[in-house]
Amino acid sequence: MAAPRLEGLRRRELLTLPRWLDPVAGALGVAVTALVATSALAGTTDAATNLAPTFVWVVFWVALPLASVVLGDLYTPIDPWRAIARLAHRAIRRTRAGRTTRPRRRGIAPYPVALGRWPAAAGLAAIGWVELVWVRRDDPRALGWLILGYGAVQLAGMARYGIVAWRRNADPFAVYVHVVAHVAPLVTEGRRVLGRAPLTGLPSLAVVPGTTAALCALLGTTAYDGLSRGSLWMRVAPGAAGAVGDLGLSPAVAGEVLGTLGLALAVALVAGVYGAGVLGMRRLSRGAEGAALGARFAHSLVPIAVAYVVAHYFSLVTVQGQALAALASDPLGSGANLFGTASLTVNYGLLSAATVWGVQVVALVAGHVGGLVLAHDRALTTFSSHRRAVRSQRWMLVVMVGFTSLGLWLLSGA
Amino acid sequence: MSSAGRQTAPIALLCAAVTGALAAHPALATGLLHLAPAIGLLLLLALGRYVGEGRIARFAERRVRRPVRGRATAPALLRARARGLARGGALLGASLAVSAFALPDAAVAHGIGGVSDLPIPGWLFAWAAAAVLMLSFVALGVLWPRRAWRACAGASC
Repeated sequence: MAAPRLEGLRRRELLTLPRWLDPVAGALGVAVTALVATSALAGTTDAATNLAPTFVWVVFWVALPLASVVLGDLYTPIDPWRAIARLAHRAIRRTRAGRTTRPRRRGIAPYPVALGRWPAAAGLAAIGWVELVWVRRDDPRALGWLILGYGAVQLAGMARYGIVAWRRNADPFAVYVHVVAHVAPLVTEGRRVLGRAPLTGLPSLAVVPGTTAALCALLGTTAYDGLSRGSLWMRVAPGAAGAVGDLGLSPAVAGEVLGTLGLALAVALVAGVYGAGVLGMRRLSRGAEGAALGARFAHSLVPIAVAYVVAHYFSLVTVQGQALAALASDPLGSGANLFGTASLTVNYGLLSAATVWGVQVVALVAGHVGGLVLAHDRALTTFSSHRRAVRSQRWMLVVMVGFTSLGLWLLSGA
Repeated sequence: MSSAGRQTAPIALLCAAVTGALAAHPALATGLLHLAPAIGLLLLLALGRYVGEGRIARFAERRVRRPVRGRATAPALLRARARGLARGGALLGASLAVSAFALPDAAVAHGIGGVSDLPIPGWLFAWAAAAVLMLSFVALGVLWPRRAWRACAGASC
């Protein structure tokens, strides 16, 4: 396993985190989750004045992964379900240790290898569906129950397969943050924080089954976000929704059916473009299986997924994120003013259209250049000669140019 | 070449189908314009044309051979990569400058709205991005001749 590394790529130890940080971060995560869930279930039902919708869709779903792209995996320390599971694990171990000498890990089953990250891929597609298709996506009550349901599933999974194995494979959000954190120039090993060049963590991403699918789900849902706001979709959707509605469905349900189809189409399109690139590369590799080759290059999709998220959501984070100041002072929408910030308003003019477009173009191009670099480096070990490797990368070039153009088309209003 | 030849027909058909489908509807025509560089590259590949392959290989060979005489391999590789990074940075900066230059203040004051009224047609950005990626591809082929990034050992890698 201990592969030699080039001098310049050695990771440098920066600092050691204090021992109390992990439990404190866990307690903070549990407290914030409790606050958001309370706000969702007991606060106002108005989405704009309830803390939960903004917190879930801006902080949790976009800002936390993006911060992890810079600072390393931030979700693991503050994951409330991990904190609860660890506490429960410790309590059970203590009571058992007092009573009997039976093996402690009796209840934990090995995680099925073949299942891999497929549960996370399905979960990410489901979260994307809730965010972009579901009519009640901003309904605080619905979100509250979803938070609790999500937590229940994660706790059950961690109890069955162990905290680390479950979070690495099946917890959708933990997998999402774990994967994109490989881009970060910082990585935490135990309590040590190491520095490394950005992107150099990605070649060591463990591409277990389902990882490519999880990345395609991420890319596809983000692409659908752009597609569903573009003029093309606006032009096609009403007629198609009418056709679906003729089957006897209410307009809302017809819209959801259509959105589901669009989402599935977007994910399939992304998977198809990547699959076509892999198919092309396979012509140049002797004997490599298509699936294995697809997994070997899957890590080059990570910077693209990050770029798509930045391009589509950074304006949401900077604009709607401002609402947090007011919402934090009045989480239930009951007229409270805890920090004296309840009357702050959102400055919608903070970002000009030019700034937004500039960031989007640069993010997309930078992400795809990063993908090309990673794929090129991997090709040099996959193919028998430099010439073959470069040849294979023409297929990745097509994939990257296709994704960039598609992204720019969707962002410019399709 | 025979196995490659067998797969050429479906790819060419796919290209034709995508192009036809996109050109069929006026709303999709802008998409075709955006995707034209990707379709062009795909067509070249489908035809088995690897434009500039020999030149990239020759330049890359020259780069590999040179460091052996002078310094050890790793620093030379690092220098090459640093130069590559500098070039990539210059390219990115240029694209940023283009996009900033392309959007005078008239486009401002929209807040977080779309950018449907760009002073420069959107597909031009897609073509510029495609050019940046193609340049990156060539630069990688020439400046990055050996594997440089490896998987590291350790639990949290």
